[in-house]
Amino acid sequence: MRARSDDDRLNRLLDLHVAPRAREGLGDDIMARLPQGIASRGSTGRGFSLTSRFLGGFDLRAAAAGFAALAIGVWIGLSGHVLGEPSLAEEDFMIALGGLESGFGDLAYLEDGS
Amino acid sequence: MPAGEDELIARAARGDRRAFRRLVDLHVERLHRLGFRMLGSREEAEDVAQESFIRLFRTLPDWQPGRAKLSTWLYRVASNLCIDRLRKRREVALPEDFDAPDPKARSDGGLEERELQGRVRGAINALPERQRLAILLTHYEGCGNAETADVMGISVEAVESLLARARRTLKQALAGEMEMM
Repeated sequence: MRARSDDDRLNRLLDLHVAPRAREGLGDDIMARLPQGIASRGSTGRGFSLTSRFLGGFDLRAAAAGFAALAIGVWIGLSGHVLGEPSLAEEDFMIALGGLESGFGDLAYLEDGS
Repeated sequence: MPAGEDELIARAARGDRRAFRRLVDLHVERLHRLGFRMLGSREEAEDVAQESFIRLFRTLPDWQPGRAKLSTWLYRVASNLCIDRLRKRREVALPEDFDAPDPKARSDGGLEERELQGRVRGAINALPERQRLAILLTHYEGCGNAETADVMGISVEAVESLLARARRTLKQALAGEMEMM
């Protein structure tokens, strides 16, 4: 009788590693966990759905970080702290703010005087 | 691909949950089997199967018939989930009974056979995860090298290399057991 090759013997050994059958109710559990509707866009494998790209995950954090950076940039630009002296933008801003306060003051005066 | 699977996918994409259930029934066994052999736990295998089908459900509206075989796509998702779990395990202490044989998975064989099964399982589990995945997909799931390459996102040559290394390691680890065969 021809001796079995190493590959044959290894394959026979590997066949001993049996896996159990899936639990009977697993299909029901999967159906119960499905979202109610079909999403308009989906993910493949590791990706994020379009919805989660905008509402969750890394992109929301990235958006918050971007907004914070923008706010800091605007503040620096207005205050002129980078150059150590007031910027034109700050002066314009203060003038605008003064005008706004004056406008509110006039409005309050008109209301009080009526 | 089973007859009518494209039709089932199209119906499921239109919201037909019965069609989706049919897809689950067609493929759940293979995902559970792969998850169990990768992770050694029925519970984790169930989690992987569930998560894979939920991802399929979300992907259905964008599914392009003929572009990917459903079983290949599902194997890919399940494989990634298994590898993620294996990597997370390295970050936390493993329970003492990790890698113990699942009592429900035991065959009806005697003690000697169960011990032999345990040694085979241990040798497979000791393989690096990509070598292990390549062996599981080809030997147990019956995937060809091309499909295994597709699932793993690597070339056929890379699969052949992984398989050669895995089999060489297994032969060394199971040399004594192979003498008895």
